[in-house]
Amino acid sequence: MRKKIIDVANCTGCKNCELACIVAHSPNENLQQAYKDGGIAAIRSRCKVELTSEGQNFPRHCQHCEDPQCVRACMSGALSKGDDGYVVCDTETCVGCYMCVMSCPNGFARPSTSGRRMMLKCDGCTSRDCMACVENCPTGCLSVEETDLPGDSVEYLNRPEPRESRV
Amino acid sequence: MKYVIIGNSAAGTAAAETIRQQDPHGEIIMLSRDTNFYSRCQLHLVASGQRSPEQANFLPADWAQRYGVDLQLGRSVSEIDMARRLVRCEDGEQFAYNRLLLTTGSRSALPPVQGMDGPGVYGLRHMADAEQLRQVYRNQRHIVIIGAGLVGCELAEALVEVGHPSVSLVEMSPYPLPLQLEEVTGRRLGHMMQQHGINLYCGDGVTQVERNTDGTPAAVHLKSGKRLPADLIVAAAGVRANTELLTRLGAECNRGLIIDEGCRTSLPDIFAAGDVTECRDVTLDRVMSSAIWPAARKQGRVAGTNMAGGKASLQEHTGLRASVSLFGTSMVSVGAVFSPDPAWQKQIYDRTDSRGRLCSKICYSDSKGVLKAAILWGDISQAGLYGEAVLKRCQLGDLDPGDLPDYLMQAVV
Ligand SMILES: Cc1cc2nc3c(=O)[nH]c(=O)nc-3n(C[C@H](O)[C@H](O)[C@H](O)COP(=O)(O)OP(=O)(O)OC[C@H]3O[C@@H](n4cnc5c(N)ncnc54)[C@H](O)[C@@H]3O)c2cc1C
Ligand code: SF4
Repeated sequence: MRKKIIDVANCTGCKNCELACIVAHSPNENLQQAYKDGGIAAIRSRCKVELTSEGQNFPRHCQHCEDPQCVRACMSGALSKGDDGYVVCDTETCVGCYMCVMSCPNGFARPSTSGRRMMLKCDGCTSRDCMACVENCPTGCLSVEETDLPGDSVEYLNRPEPRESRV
Repeated sequence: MKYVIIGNSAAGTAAAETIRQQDPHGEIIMLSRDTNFYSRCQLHLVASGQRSPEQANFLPADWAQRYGVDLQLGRSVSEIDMARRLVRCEDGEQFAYNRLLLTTGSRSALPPVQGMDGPGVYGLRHMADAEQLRQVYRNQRHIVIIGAGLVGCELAEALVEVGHPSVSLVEMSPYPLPLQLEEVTGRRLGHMMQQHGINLYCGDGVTQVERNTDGTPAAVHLKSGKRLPADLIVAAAGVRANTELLTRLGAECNRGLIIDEGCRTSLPDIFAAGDVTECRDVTLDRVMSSAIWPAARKQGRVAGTNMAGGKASLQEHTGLRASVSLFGTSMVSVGAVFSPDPAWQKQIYDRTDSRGRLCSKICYSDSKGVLKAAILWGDISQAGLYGEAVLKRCQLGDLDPGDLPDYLMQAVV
């Protein structure tokens, strides 16, 4: 199984991953055209570099959870976890009830900003040879590893501790 | 091992999948009155014609083969014989079980009002209701929906969206979605619905259905004295759990069948899951029913695991979680926003997002600062974090009332 490894310590906050994600999901992978056509607002990056309350860069990506709450909540059958471990949405089937949005504990199931009511999430770039974010990460923060280990399809290294547990 | 599951909806199918994962060889029989798989959550869209009945299917076509389920659809169970461990159907067929699961859901309850019984009055709970509504609503001039809960509001929106000119909605509470919203957001929603053409009558109730000489509805009379012309009436003001099969046998039951955290009823080897049940809700710490799809699925999985000899228990179970989008505005509600503890502090945080939408967050926290309930209006993209904070009893913290503590809980604006 292919896992995405995120080594938080290596993130410099360059946001190449976000940009690559937007490009990969723009029509024909042509960002310039999408911008000209005014459709750019509809393309959201599925991943996001955030700052922790202590000012550390924290790249956040859909975890493609082992037990995905978004899939658990889906009432249309649009969301499913494939044999490859990646959680994808069949946009034709999605009705935009947003129960996945309500249920994802990480905030990575989101309403789409394009005209149609449907959800939007990281698709693991399952149709590409390499994930766009990983391909464009210049620091080695994002990488891909072949592994048989169970668990989420996205693994964090050096993940910042939640504030509660630090007290 | 012989497993019999009654019901083929959210809870029943989740249970079958889980049983099969644990027990590759057991016999799974699924009996249901429904003749197809469909998601009840989409029935308002089927009723308005925005989605076909086929599109409401939530399972892949080969589901039964994939999970090795013996499907017996279109069969109504009339009786359970506990002594002989048999389930009897109305058509006389009977099925033996070792473990039985009841996921019979609930049915629409008509308000006990003079003239309510009769033609022209519909519920919205089964595919047949939706298909009938779809066939008749275009030819009916005035539609009156009773109850502005989730189903009533969603149906009213769907009918207005497809261009029906006269949709009225009657609600006892002072604002729509009284279980999901509070005063400010509730009134805001009421205003929005009216602007979109729904005739909304809040703080009012139906006292009588007036009928024509041919028996068809003519009007509904309200407590306030108003008379609303009505050719078609939809009752969306309450449901009753289908508990009879087990209450007859003496199962412990409130409004729903009481189940423990393993989804066991008080009867031996009989489990129950979904809308037919009541169990402990973590947000209120009270035994109550949950009428939402994700809760039914979760109970189904827990029941399935335990039926197949595994060990699972309902953790962080709640039915007080709802997501609804009306006229382009999304809302998510978590926790008991309808009856906040007087000691809770309520904070409202409004902002306008980059697209000019008004977005609000309403957070209720207890004296220790723990988030107890929340409503998100407009921007719901972080709703899951708030839900998680309520379930995990996280502190709302000392940040801006719109934010939650630590980086994970930070509101992304
Ligand atoms: C219009 C509408 C919109 C909704 N929208 C949402 C939403 O947006 N979000 C959300 O979370 N929830 C929503 N819900 C609620 C959600 O649909 C239910 O929580 C869910 O369907 C419960 O599943 P269940 O398996 O417990 O029971 P049900 O779906 O009620 O299924 C009961 C099953 O039992 C079978 N059955 C009953 N009695 C018998 C018998 N005697 N013999 C044989 N079979 C029997 C029926 O055929 C059926 O298959 C909505 C409901 C409706 C009606
Ligand atoms: S969207 Fe959320 S729940 Fe679904 S797989 Fe990704 S992180 Fe998990």
